[in-house]
Amino acid sequence: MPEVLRTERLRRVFGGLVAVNEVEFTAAEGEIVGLIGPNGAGKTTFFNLVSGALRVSGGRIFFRGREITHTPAYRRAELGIGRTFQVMKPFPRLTVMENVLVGAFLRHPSRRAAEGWAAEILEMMGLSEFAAVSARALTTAGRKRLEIARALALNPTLLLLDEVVAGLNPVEAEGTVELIRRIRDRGTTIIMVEHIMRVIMGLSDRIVVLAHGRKIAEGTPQQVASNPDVINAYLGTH
Amino acid sequence: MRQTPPSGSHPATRPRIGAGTSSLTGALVLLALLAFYPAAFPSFMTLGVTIVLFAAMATAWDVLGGWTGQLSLGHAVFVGIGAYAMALLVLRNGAAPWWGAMVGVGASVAVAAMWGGVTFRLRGPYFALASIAVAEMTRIVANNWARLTGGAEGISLPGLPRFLGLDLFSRQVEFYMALVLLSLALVVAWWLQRSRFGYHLQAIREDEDAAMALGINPTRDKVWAFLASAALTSLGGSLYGIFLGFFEPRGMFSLDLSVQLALMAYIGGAGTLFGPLIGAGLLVGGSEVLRIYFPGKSLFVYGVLIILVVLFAPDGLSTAVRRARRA
Amino acid sequence: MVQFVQIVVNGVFTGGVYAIIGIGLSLIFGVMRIVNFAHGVFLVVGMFTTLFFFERLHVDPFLVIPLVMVVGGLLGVVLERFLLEPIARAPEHASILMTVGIGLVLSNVLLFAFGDAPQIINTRYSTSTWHLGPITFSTALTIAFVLTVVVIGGLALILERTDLGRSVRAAAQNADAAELQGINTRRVRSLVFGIGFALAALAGALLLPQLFAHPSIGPTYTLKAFVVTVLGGMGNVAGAIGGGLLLGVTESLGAAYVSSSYRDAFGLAAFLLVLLLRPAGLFGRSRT
Repeated sequence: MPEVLRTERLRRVFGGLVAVNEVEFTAAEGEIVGLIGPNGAGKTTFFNLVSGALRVSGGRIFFRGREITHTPAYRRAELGIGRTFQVMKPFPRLTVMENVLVGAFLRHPSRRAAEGWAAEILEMMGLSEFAAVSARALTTAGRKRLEIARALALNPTLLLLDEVVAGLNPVEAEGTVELIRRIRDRGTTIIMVEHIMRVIMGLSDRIVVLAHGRKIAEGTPQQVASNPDVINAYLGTH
Repeated sequence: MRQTPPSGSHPATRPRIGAGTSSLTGALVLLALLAFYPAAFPSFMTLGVTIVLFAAMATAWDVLGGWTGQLSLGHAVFVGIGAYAMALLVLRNGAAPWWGAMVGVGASVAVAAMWGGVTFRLRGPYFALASIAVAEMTRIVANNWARLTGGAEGISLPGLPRFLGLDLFSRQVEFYMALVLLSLALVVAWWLQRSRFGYHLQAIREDEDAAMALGINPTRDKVWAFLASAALTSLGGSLYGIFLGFFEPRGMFSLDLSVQLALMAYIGGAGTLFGPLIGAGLLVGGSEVLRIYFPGKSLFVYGVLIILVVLFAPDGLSTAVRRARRA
Repeated sequence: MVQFVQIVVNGVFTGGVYAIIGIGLSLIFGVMRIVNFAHGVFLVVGMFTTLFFFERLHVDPFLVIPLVMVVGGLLGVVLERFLLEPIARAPEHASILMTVGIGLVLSNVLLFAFGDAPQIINTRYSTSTWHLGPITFSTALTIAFVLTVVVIGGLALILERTDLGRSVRAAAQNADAAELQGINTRRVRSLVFGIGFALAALAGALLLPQLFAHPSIGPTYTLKAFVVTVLGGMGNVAGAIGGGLLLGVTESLGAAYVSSSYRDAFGLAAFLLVLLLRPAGLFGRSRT
C-alpha cells in the first residue's frame, strides 16, 4: 500500500528537553496506526510536528511523497492532513453547524455546497440534532464528536486523532470506535493517540510505542503487548 | 445523498439577528427610515450626522475588532489621516474633497498594511499595543510638523467646492453622505456574515490554532480585514473633517476617539450586523443627554459603562437582550 | 563630551523610574496574562496621592512614599478582586476593555477631585542640584534613582527568597501547575495586581517633583510602560530594568540631539522597531 506519511529522524527540542528524538515513522494508506507511550513520551508533540502546529528542530516529514517539513499548518490542512486537539478547541460562539462549515469551506468555496457537505458530516457524526446549538453548550462527548466532525469536513487523507475516546462513557466510546472504523473504511488513513488500551489495541492495525521521545517498539498489537521493552517503559514510570 | 437545504441558508446558520435574507431586509428598512430623518427632525441634524457617521466608523472598526477579534485601540489614526488628507488637498491643491479622501484611503491602507503585517504574525497583545503607539506617534508628528499640518493649531476649511450643485457644508448633504457610507459599511458586515471570508475571520477570532488546522491563513486574512476596516474608517474621517470644518491633532488622533469606536461596537454587540450602529446611537445620543444634565462627565460614564458591559453583558447589549428574550 | 555624559546620566536616572513602571506591568502580564491599559493612570493616582499628603500633612513627598505605595497596593487588590477576578477566564479583549474602563473611571475621578489645572509641587530641593566633577545632577532625580534601586533590590529579594515570591514566580510560569501544587492563585493574582499598582504609584511619587500632576497624562505613561515591557520582553521582569534604562537614555539623547518636541516619539519609534525586528524583546522572554 502506498505510504501516506513518513518521518525521518524527526526531532523537536524545547530548551534543554528533547521531546521528540530521531523518530522514524510511517503510515500506509488505509492503516489505523496507534501511537502509545507513557505520559510525557512526546505523542502530542509528534502530532503537533506532523500537523504543523510546531516547527521541527531536525529531521524531515513527507506526506504522500512530498516533503512538508517547512510547510505552514494551514497549507498542510489544504494538502489533506486533519487533526483533533487533545485539549478541545471548538469555536465557542459559533453553532455546531457553523463549526463544521468552517472546515467545509476549505473544499467547497460556495456557501451552498459547503453547507450541504457540512450537513452530511453532521449526519454521519450523529450531530444533526445539535446543528443550531452553540458549540460551548455541548457536553464533553458532543465536543469530542465536533472535533472529529470539523476535521472530517476537510475530507482529509490523513486524520490525526488525539485522545478522542478518553472521558467518554462505554456507550459513547463504543460509538466513537465504530465511527473511526467507518472513517477508515471510507479511505482515510488514521493515526491515533489513546490511553485506553482496550480501544487502541482493538482498533489499530499497527502500533508504535514512544517513550522519552524515542520510538522503542513497533508492530502488531499482540507483538507490542508482549514486548518486554514496552512493559518496562510503562512500569518504569509508575 | 441528503437533500441540500434551499436558498443557501441552513436554519442552523441563522443564530443571530440578521443572518441571511431577513437581515438584508432589515438593513434596507433601517436605511430607508433613516433617509427620512432630515425631514422628521430638521433641528437635530448635527446629532443625526454624528450618529450616522460614528455608526459607519464603528461598523468599520468592528470588521477587525468584532469579526476578527483583533482589538485596535488606535483606529483614530485612520480618522485623522482621512480628515487631514482631504483637508490638505483641498487647501493646498484646490482639489475636490473626494480626491483627498482617496489619498487618505491610500495612506490609511498603507499604514494598516505595514503595522498589521508586522504585528499579526506575533502571538499576544502586540497588535493592540502597537495600535496605540502608531496613533500616538502620528499625533505627535502631526502636532509638530506645522508646515504640513498646521501643527497644534489645527486646520480649518473655509470653503468647499460644490458637488453636483450641493453645498457640502449643509448638514442635510452631510447626513446623506454619512448615510451612504453607513450603507457601504453595513453591506460589508452583511457580506461577512454569510461569506467564506467572514467565517474565516470568525474562526480566527474564536481559536486561531484550530482555524489554522482547518486551512485558514490567519495573517493573510487578518491583514485583509484590517485593510478594509482602515479604508472605511478613513472615508469616515474625511467626512468627519468636512463635518467639523475645523480640527486639530489632539482631537483627530486621540486615544479617546479610538476608545469610543471600540466601545460603540462592544456595547452594541461586536461582530454583529447592527451592534455597532446600536452602540453608536446609544453612546452619541447618551452623551448628548449627559451633556445637558451632567456636563463634562461623559468620559466617566463611558468608563463605568465599559466596566458594566464587560462584567454583565460581555457579548454586547444586543446579544444580551436577545438572550433574555429567548429565556 | 561632558554634555553627553550629562544627558546619558539624566536618561539613566529617569530610566530607573521607567523601569519601575515597566516591572509592574510586566509582573501583571506575566502572572495574570493581562495587559493593563490603566497602568499609567495608576501612576497618576500615585502622583495625586503624594500631592494630597504633601499639601495636607506638609510632609516631604519622598517620605510619603511608603504610604502612597500602601494606598496603591490596597486599591490594586480591591480592583482585582471585584473587577478582574470575575473575568479571569474571559477572552483577552475582556481584560483589555476592563482595564481601559478602569483607567477612564479613575482618571475622571481624579479630575473631579483635583480639578483640571496641572498641579506642581515645590519642595526645598525641586530645583536644587549637586555636582560630581563637571557633571550636574538634579537632586530630586538622584533621590528618585536611589529609591528606585532600593525598591528593585527589595523586590528581587522578595521574589527570590520568600515563599510569597516563589508562589508568584510559580504562578507566572504555569498557573495550572501552581494551582495543583497548592498555591492559591487567586490570592497571588490579587497580590500581584496590588504590587503592580503600588509600583506604578511609586513611580508617580518619584516623578512628581520634576513633573506636574494632571489626570490626562495617564495614557502617555501607560504607553511608556508598554514600551519598556516590550523592549525588555513581555513578562520578563528583569528585562524591564534594561528596557526602562534604554527608554530613559533614548528619550534623553533624542530630545537633546534631535528635537525635544518629539521626545515622546523616540520611545515609540524604538518600540515599533523592536516589534519589527525582535518581538521577543531585547532581553528575550523569561519563558515561552
